[in-house]
Amino acid sequence: MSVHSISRRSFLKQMAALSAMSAAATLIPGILFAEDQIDQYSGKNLKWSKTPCRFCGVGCGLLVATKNGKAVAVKGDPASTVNKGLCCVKGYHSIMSLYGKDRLTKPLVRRNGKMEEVSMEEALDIVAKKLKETISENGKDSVAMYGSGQWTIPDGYVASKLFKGLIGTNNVEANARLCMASAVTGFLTSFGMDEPMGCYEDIDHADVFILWGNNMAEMHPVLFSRLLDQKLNRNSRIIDFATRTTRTSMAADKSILFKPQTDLAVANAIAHEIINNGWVHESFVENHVSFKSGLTNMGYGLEDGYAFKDEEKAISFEEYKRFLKDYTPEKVEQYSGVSAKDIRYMAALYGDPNKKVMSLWCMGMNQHTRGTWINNLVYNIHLLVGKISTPGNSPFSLTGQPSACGTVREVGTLTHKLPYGVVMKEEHRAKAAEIWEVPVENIDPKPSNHTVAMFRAMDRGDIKFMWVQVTNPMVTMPNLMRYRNGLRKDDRFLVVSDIYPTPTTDEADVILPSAMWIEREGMYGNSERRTQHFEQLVDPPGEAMSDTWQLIEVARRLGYEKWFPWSEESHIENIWNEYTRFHAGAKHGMAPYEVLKSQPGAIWPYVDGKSTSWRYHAKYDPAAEGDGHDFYGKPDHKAVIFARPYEAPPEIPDDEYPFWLNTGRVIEHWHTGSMTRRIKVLHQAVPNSYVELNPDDAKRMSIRNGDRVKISSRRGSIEMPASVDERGMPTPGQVFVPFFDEGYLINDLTLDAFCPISKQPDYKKCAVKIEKV
Amino acid sequence: MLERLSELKECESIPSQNKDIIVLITDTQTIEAEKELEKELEALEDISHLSLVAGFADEINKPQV
Repeated sequence: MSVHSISRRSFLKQMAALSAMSAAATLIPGILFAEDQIDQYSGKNLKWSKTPCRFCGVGCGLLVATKNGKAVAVKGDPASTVNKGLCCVKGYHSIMSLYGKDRLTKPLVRRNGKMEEVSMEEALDIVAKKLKETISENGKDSVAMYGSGQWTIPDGYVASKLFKGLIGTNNVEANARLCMASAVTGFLTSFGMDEPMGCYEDIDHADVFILWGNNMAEMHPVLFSRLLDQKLNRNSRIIDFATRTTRTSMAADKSILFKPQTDLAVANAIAHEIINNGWVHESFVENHVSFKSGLTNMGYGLEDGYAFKDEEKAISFEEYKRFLKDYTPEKVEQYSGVSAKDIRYMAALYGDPNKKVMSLWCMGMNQHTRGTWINNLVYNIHLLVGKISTPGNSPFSLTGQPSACGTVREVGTLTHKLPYGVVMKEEHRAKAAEIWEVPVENIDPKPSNHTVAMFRAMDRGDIKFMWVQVTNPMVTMPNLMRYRNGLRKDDRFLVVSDIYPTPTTDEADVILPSAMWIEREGMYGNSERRTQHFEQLVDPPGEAMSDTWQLIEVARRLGYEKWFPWSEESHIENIWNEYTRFHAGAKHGMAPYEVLKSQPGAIWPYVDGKSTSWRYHAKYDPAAEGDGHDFYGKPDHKAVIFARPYEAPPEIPDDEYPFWLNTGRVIEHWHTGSMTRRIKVLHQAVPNSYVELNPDDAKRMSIRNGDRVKISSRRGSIEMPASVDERGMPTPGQVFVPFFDEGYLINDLTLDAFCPISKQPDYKKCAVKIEKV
Repeated sequence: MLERLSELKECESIPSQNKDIIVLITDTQTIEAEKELEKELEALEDISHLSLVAGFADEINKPQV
């Protein structure tokens, strides 16, 4: 054995001992270990620093150890209330994603069809010059910024200020449009304010967890472990309501499978049963709820130039009851595949006045052509029984990315948004203009292009310049082939800031190497409204630069230095102080910079030195009036129950394309795999994507595990290995493909239909055929 | 419990001074040895918490794509 490996083994043992002692101290306050033992394992030459995890939206607190300028160890932060010292497999290996051998360290510029290394100064000059020329020749709306829910809060804020406040275009979007937009419009339509009213502490109080199309065991594993803990210790029940059998189903008390899109009907059937059985919380509904309907038959956004604006109309409780008559359990059973008995079972759980219920969801409900509606319908159920905004009673929309909430939803890096409010409202534009110190006329009052529309505009040539940061749209866009071909057209110019080569950097005219996560200072905001700060712990490689500073450098080259006057040393603090002016007050106040530096995050609204764990209830929320619930996001202080019908998706299986295609993730890989596929142990665990089939379908087609199959839709086809009886099991007539593998671009097959209200595409439903190769 | 743990190979025990808690560090050379040790540990009662730490020392990660 080499000296190196002995040293490493010894090091690992030290870390394990330390972590175990820390975990014990968390579980058993006051526990003591002998000082000589602590000294032996203390790792005195290491510096441990807190940071949120780089990966999913749970926002686990990590402690990262650095030694000689390098991140060398990770453990869960026992002081973090999110994960209480635990991590998932991605979290434990997160720092290894910093050290892939092919990190981008030098800027690259395309010249005569080939990428050439240039200095960062020259690359930034080129980006600024091209941006200026494009605006001059084609107008301000010919340029676009496409960011990410993995942007830090300062990244998104600076991008919004530059593009919306100074350049004057609303062509600012982020990949959270692809994952969270329906959650946003669901919250806004039902409550008038975005983001969950509860927090993760709800898990410690709930008696029942109903998961709506949410494979938490793989997508939010640390939170799921908290659910399992409650199941074990308090006999809480977990109901997995999904279209596919997964690891979550296996761990649940009950798995209920439904046919794609019929969650809309089942939610209405549950509401019908609650009313039919007299389980409505009458006084809550009378005092805190209004009823509305909206437009139906909205279409699916498949055409360029598609536009939709909902028209909400007040209705009475009696009209809502009449609307629900089409959703008796027996009627819904006929097309949902869910038995009337199971519908009644779920309704009884929600309706039992002695049970606290949490509903949890993520992409299953959000990536849905009626995503806003299904969000509304789950809120309807909680509102009918008054189970909301108190500990354990919580409809909880989980996020997928570490700062989809913090950066995209709170900073407002979507075409219609501003850091406070929306571009359409004069008072919101005025507030932004005042804080940004720009003429209010700079801010365009019309939203321009949401994400799908933005890539369509790039294909048509209405947008000619796009800057992409921290995301990989050439793997993730639905109907991908169209948008890849669009980027390749002659007069399009693409700038990509990233840390590794990806299919998106392959299409770039300029590649800017980015500093990643703890190679710079920043903040993320997680699913429970918790903002978490991280310091720069190690230096970025080569000329890599933070996305925030790249944007500032380009802004200065465009002549906007006055608006970005900060130094490299203090710009994150300065940006935070400017940004939080937008949210000042009891309804959305953010914690001061020094507070964020000193603890593992704070939940907004942060009022009088305290996080607000539950919104809309006077007992917990300083902004709420009276002594009970107060849905102050709405002018009448009432949350809305919406009559939203079941409508079929745009493309359903037929004789030619007889299978549903569902896409998603696996626990080992983060999104498009550009980081986790460079972590050896994670890559070896799941080295490639696959198409998962139901065993009966596979048997009928003589397809065995590992066989090559061709999967085709009306848009494209790929060949990939089959997976039968392995990790998950789709229902008969459905296949599932993870999207992390750039070697199998499943989005060449998916459909770019979206929810007309949220503009979020549906990655869970289109029609495909399967052929054994 | 401490005595029984001390009999196991490739195991190191760190008892708490004031609670009935023992931190147990295992360090096996092969997967087979790890599985064998796991069996032996499973045969012991009262082990209630397992904790994992990822340490990477100076190993350079290699690209997998």
